[in-house]
Amino acid sequence: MMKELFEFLFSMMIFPGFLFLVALGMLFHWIDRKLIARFEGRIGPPWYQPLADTIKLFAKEDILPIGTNEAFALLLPLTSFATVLTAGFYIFSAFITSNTSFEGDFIMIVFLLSLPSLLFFLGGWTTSGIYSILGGHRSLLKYFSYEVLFLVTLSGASIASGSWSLAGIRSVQENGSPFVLSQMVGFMLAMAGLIGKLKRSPYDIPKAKSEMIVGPLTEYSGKKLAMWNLTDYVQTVAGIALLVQCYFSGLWITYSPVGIFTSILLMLGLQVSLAIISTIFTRLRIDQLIDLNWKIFIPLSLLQNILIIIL
Amino acid sequence: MTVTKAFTAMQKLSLTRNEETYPPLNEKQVFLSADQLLPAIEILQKNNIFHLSTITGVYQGQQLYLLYHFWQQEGITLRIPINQPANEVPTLTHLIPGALFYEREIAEMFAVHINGLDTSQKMFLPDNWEGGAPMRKDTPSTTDIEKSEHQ
Amino acid sequence: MSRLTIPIGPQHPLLKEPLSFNITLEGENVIDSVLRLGYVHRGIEKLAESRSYIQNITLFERVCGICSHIHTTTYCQAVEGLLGLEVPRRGVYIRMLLCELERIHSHLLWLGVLAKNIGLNTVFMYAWRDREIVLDLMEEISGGRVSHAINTIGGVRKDLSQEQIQKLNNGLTDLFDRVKDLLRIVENDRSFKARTRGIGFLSEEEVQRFCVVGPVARASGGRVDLRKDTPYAHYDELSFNVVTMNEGDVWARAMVRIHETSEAIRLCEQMVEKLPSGEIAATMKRKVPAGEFISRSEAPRGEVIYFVKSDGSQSPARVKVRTPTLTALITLPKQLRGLQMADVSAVVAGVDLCIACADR
Repeated sequence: MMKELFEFLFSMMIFPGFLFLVALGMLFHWIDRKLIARFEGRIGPPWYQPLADTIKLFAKEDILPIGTNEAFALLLPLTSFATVLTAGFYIFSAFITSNTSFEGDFIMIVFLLSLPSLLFFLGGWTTSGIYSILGGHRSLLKYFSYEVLFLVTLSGASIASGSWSLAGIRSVQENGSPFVLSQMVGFMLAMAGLIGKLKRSPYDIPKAKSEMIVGPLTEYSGKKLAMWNLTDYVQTVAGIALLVQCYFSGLWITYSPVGIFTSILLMLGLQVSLAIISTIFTRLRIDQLIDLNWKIFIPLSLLQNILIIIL
Repeated sequence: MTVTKAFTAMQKLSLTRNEETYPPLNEKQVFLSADQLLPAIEILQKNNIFHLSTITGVYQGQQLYLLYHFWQQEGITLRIPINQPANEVPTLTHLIPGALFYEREIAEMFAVHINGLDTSQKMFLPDNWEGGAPMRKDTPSTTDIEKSEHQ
Repeated sequence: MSRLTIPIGPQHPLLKEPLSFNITLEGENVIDSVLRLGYVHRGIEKLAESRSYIQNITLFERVCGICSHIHTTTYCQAVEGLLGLEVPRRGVYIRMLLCELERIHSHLLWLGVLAKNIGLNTVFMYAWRDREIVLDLMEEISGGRVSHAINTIGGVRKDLSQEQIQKLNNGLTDLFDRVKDLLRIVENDRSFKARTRGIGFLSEEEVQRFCVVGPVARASGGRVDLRKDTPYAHYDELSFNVVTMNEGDVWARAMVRIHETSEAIRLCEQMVEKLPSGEIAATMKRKVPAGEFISRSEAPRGEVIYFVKSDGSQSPARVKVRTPTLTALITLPKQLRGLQMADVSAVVAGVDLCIACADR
């Protein structure tokens, strides 16, 4: 009884729970910032920067505009942090063992990962500054576009494997070939969807500093802002890990230690590509972004899925 | 060449006067009265001179003049005395929209009334400015006001 | 669709200096904007009337941060015109050298700001890194990175040594290659063009009616450059091209400015090569005779005009300054009409505002 309780607490709090996810999220965030800095000819922050930033934010004063619903303003960042932690927990424990995976957990994970975008918009709506609201409008438009793209492309993986569970998706690839080979287009579109979800350049309109200050998060400070940031970090690693599992399982990713090692390498590789993409492009305008999504990306991904069903 | 042609055209229409006691300027200048301003601009535009560099307000003794500096390969200046009590000139903005900011500055700094210009909002001075038109000779400068307050 | 009024400024990440314009949006499109200047109005023209001619050089250097040298050059030219003083050739060449270096500095800074506003942080970092080279060169010559204090009435205050000339040559060669790279990006990069083409359009006729000057006018087909048309200093002894484009949008302005930067580097190299020997300043007579003088020059943003009136006393009777940013500001409401909110930052950056200049 005590042993089970201890195991439960360990997996919730340490691995692959809270501490592991936050630490991994901070590590990947640091890699991203350091890479982008080096590409731009700068030096970049030291390794403990994200940790230092979070600690500093927790020590800062927490002020909100008059008339904001304070309970709501606390609930929103807390909820988004909780959702990504839950999603991350399932994704990472699926790396180690297939025991935690259940039928339908794939859909649950994708749903949980899409909640932060909605809560981001609601966060701006709650604090109702002019920049928050305008940033919120834009993020809602984006939310519809890129979440849909993410879902449609990833469902290609689950359609091809005929299963709604992560373990099922992995086992089909282990017995066959990794989906990245047969669904290359789907993989690239899923990357585009991930960039949109994570609000990275070139899709970072809600956070466009020179236009909307910081968008919906303009009025947040202190521990609430720290939680929004932590949501971002954990969402990044969870999203990357999900992509690795859905597309690269099989030849390279297994449940063995070697497999785990290669999965970490692949995750790093995806993070590096995300950093490169952020550096090369300008920020797209909202209409260009939506045009690109609905006229090109979604049709391609639907086509991909149709091909999967037929073949 | 166009400036010379415009200058000659204005002289032919007897739009210039001689001012003997006037200090020298390094460009051609034409002396006009306020009602001759718009016809002179039309002559300039007929001769392809469109670019208005700026409008300067300057005192010669106690007399305030407005100088309109035009330029097309060389410069030509129109000099207009502002006489009390009328104290006004017509606006150029229907012919030269770019003159808007220059005219508003003159109206604000020198308290010259420009016919047809909307001067309800201040341009350079703060909205609650009480000190009058700063560049006029009869407005005390802030140092004078401070001195009188100290006494 | 409801209308929303967004205040941009006086404090805003878009703007380096305080300027207020309220944009009225309907949906995503800008309908109108109302401009309010005057946040950094310091009354410099009035202040100049109570200072001596030499003290005014220091005063006019502070009209603007980026184009400080051209302001003092134009002012000194006006006073030298009143005095009938001829500046020795070496002094004029050193003045021109700093003017062109300042032009390079201003354009590189502007490119970084435009890139940052449209989200291309990489180009912002690269352009500002190259700007450091120019700042080091200017510091070599005058001792200050942005504020040089090298002009005096009659010439310049500091001379160039052989060692400095060598450093200048090395720096200029390095800079030329880097600017070629930046030009390649502006000309070819698809995402850069996607954010800058077709917005902020001004036709050639509008440029003429609004009396616009500088790169904004040259990007719409106006072929005006005071260094060629009324050569002041000794620009008629040097060869360079005047860059014009016909598209009239923000991208055309970027192209004009980058090409002007390469032309300026070439000009600097010619000046260093042809640097005459001799004195650097002529002695100024004590008293400036009564008279009026108009002096114009080509600042990085366009035509700067100084009108100086002397009545024979220690201080000037009137100094009037008109800076080029004021002409561009008049066109800003027209440029913004009909644009999307996201394009506002690109257009505002494309105009290259220097509000301290405009307000004085």
